[in-house]
Amino acid sequence: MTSRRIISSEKTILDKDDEDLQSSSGAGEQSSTAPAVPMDVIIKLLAFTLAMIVIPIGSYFVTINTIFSGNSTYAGALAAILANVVLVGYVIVAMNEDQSDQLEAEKKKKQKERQGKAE
Amino acid sequence: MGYNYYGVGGLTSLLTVVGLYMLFTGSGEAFNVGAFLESVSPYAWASTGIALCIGLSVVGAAWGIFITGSSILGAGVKAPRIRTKNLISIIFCEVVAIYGVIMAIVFSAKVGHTTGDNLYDGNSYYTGFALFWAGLTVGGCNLVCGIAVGMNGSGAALADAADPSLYVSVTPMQLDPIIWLILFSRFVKILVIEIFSSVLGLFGLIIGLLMQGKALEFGTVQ
Repeated sequence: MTSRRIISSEKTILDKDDEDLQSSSGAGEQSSTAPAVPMDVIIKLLAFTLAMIVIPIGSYFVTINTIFSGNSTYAGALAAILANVVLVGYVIVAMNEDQSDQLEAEKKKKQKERQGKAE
Repeated sequence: MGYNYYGVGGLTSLLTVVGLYMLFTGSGEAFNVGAFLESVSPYAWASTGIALCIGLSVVGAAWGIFITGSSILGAGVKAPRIRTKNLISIIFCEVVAIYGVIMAIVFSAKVGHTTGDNLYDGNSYYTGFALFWAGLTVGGCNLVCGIAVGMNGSGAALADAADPSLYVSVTPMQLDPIIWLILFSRFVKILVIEIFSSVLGLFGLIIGLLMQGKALEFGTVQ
């Protein structure tokens, strides 16, 4: 009584794959064997992880005796700020990538439309 | 849970028996918290603080990545399009660990070598206690911050898998900085709560920096 399952013949958005959402015709399509995580995404993650380790700690040791003349408080604060700068850089990269993905998707769509008109 | 009660009860009764025995046999003044604090080497306090700082921070970051990573993988089964935006939460968790590393490095700069009377003067006690409590502050803040960031990131991963339009989705119009800013703020919208929880770690870091700022290096003679 209390926990009745919701029965509906409609598929929720969770039950649909991307292909279903984009085109409902894909009955005879081949299943994609491309890797789920593209190489450039992995490289970006690794590069930013490396930068996240090297830049704050490196800046601490570079600046503590040159710029801040031994004041470790300022050098530590600078390191923390630089860690956040790297973080913001990653967010910006992610956003640009998201946009370029959409551009590509639109181009493909237009090409398909053109082909459809030509036929 | 029951074992905890047994443990706490056993420990309390043991301490009570030992304390009463010492009190009734004429050595009650051995229960001297101040003497205990003073007899522990300041090096022990400082080193424990550094260890707590880096250790708890890494535990928090690892916990966050553990929650977020399992969510990304689980959601990826249904929506296998892992892009850079899905991995932002991982980098957020990494920042928490880096905070702990930075603070441990800053603290360890205060630990120099000294012996004899210099080790037990006021400066050394202050440095030892300051580093201990600053390390505990930073470590505790980063532990909770890492968990908070991880849970938010897990939620973001699940939300993105369920509905990809939650992240930015607009007609592309590049090169105009104002429009770019609007897009950016839209993109950040889903990350706002994650940013808030990652700021929590910064609070601990600031206080840790302030606390260690006044501490002199071990062996400094005034």
